[in-house]
Amino acid sequence: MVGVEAILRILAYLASVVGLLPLLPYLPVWVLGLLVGGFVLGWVGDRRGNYLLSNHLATGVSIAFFIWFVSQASIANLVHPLIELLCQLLAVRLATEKSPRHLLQLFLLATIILAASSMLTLDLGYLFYLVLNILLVTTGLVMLSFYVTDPHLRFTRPQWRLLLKTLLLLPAGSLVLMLVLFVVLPRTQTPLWNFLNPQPTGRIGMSDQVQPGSVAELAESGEIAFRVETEQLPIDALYWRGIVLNRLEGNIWRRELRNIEEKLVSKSSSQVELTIYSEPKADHYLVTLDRPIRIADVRHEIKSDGVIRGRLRRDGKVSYRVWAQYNSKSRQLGDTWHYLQVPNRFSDRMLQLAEEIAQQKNYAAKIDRLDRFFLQQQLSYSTTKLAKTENPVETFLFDSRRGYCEYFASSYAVLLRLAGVPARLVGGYLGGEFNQLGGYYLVGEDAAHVWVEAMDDDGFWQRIDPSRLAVNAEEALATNRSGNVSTLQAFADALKHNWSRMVLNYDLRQQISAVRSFVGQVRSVKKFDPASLGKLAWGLPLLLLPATWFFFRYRQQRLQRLISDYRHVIAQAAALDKLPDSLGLFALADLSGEPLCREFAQLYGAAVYNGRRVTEAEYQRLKEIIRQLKKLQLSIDVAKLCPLGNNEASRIL
Amino acid sequence: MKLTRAGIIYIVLTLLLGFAAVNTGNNLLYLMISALLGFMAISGLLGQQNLQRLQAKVLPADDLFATLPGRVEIELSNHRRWLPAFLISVEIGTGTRLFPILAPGKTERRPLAVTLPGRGYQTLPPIWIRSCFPINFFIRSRRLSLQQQVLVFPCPHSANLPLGDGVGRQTRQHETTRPGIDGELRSIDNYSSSDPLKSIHWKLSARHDEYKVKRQNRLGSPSLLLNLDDFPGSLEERIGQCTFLVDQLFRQQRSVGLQLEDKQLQPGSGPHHRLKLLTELALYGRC
Repeated sequence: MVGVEAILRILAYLASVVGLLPLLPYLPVWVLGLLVGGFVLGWVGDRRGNYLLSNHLATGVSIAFFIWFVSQASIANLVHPLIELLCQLLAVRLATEKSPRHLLQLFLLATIILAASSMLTLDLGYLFYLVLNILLVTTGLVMLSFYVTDPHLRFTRPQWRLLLKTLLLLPAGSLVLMLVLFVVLPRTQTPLWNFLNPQPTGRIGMSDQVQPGSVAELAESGEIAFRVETEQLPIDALYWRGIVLNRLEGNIWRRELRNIEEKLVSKSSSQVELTIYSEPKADHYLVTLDRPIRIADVRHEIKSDGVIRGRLRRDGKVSYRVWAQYNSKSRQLGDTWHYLQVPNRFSDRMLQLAEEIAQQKNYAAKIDRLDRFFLQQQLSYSTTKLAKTENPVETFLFDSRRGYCEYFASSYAVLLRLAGVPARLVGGYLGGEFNQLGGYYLVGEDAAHVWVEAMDDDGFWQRIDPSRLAVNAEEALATNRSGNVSTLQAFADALKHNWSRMVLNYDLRQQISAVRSFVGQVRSVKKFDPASLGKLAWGLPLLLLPATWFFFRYRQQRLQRLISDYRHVIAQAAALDKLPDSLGLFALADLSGEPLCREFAQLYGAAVYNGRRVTEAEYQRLKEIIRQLKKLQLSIDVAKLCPLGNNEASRIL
Repeated sequence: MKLTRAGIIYIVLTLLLGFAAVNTGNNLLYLMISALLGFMAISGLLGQQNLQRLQAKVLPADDLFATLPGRVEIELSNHRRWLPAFLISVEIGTGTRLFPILAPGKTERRPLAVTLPGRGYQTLPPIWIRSCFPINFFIRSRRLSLQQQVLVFPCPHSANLPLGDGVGRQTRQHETTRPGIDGELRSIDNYSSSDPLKSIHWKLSARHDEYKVKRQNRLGSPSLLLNLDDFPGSLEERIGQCTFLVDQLFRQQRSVGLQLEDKQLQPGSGPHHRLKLLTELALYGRC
């Protein structure tokens, strides 16, 4: 025999721990100390049956904590004090007596604390804790209702088994309904209390300028920039376009908005559809595969040079669909003189090199000459120990010969412009890790890259990546390329991605899209497709078997139901709850004296006693008799039925 | 269905979290609120099913006297195939009995005290089955239509045997079956340690080389014929006094008869005769 009370206490402690776990990294030490104290005091009190913290004292302490909260909280600083207050109240409640009311408060506080943790972290672990919380709290609340009804209830093992079987229905059903309700619950386009949500930490944005030499070392952030759901693409196609920088001011490349048209010459063989899930950013540029044709699901402005600027807040995650062609080229329409613009001051070495390149007969030859120069210089790709000088490009090309993509791209584009070849810088990302499990590319912030677009002799912009001319290009850029990740890492990231895609990013737009998709599917069902019959034929036996079983079972049971209905009508006529089982149909017919009852008994008896099934016509007639008996408002003398049937006590009628 | 205080707290909490979810657009809060609503829906369904297909019967366990608490047996049957019944509280009048767990297809009997107001055939008060299962947020109840009548004896009023002509008249003495010292010889047994020494039959003992004792019946009190008209007070008081005396006299194994206005029940003994007299008193003056 196991008592309910002991189990309830364990459940309350466990639910409290599960509620607190996601918050542990965010709680100050003194709150953690309070919680540990609460657990210890409560446990000792449970063992001794005597609690150090009396109810009155607990109320006083709780009020003191609330006053502390009011003094700390403000609109700008609301979340942390609120969560700390909840933890303090939980600690107090843990330390006090476990009365039914207090146990209920413990379960509710644990649930609220878990809900409040979503204001600090959006981690996938929340789902795990939520499932555990549902399991523990539902079980605890059921136990609590037993405890409230009778605190001394004790059950045997078979009784516990019965209870647990039914108990499992609650969390299981709640979880299934949770998924359904999560999809259909109404959402707003713009939440009013967004300030309560977790703010992304250390948002990184695409810089709208490139200045080689501005930093001595390039730090690795390890953060995720975006994920792209698409088919696996050729490695060389993985250039993710973000921004085009077309104006050089001193050492700084900037973006200048001009109304210069370009026309994209597409190659349909390389067209792909991508869905991009971008992490929160500090800028408004939407990254796409180079080059984008069309974008959907987000308000945006697309420029002719392939730069897309989103018209939205970037402090949250955002997803959008893109149609792009990785082998397409863009033809420049109109003047190209501004792509030749350079500052006036350059050193003699630079000018001399540019002049040498300029002597080549056409753009292709000039580019080829420049490539050879880069190779001759034995430039190496490096992100550390970079020289900080006033002329970083010149230092990079002739002295240090070390630099990262910005050095390569900037110096390459400058020399092209000096040699009379229109050129510009493109900022974005290079490469990405393809997750086979999830079917998407994962691109980190460390894959940020800058390359050059130069004009060819036909007036098309061609992509040139000068970083590939580095002596160590293979190794340096390999990390950015489509590297292989371990299965475990891929699985973990696929989970994260789906969590983000299906839960965190689920919004009104996706709700509408889901409804449209559902309506579309319903409509498509109306269109009969003979080819689908073949597929159905396989499933037909699977459907037929249970259907046949249900049919025969129904046929058997319908007669039993009919008899049950008939006896119920007669019992009602005699003002009885139930007829005695000893009364057969013929006995009932005799006692009631009703011709319809006699007909019912004869019809049914003729079939059953002759060992045959009741025909459909007979079944319908029997049903009709019951219907008529109900209309008749039949009344049978109780005394006729009871002496025969009620053998419990002679005094009971 | 009655909402409890815990239920109110749960609903307020759900509404608050729902409000926070809609206004923050935080999908984790949406998950939580979906779980809370799902839990409420499933618990509602289980709670509703918990009261379905239950049948209660009332079986008198003791004699029922008007206005006095009497014991009945509640027989609760769970006719469901799969789902057990939990925390079913059966309520008749002011009496309540809890059935914590009733397995599917099983029947259990538990005693319950009921008090019925009047004598004669009385319809039992409505039977209510209530349950707070699965969560003590709502208490659901269902009234079972049980058109069952029980015979309630009159409320006994303390009384002495009236003195008067023909009342309390001693008709004849009769022997009771209880052991005594003044009745006929019923048997001769071996002496046992529980027998008093004075019961030893010395002559017989001398003949058999062991102690022998004589067993005799007790001589009962004389039969009585109670006349309802000989008691003071109103009709109900007189019936009550008569009921008291019938009950007391039968306990003393006395033979009792009853003289009603136009009916005489000859003195007799035994439980059936007692029931017969009490039934007459219960139904006296009732159609």
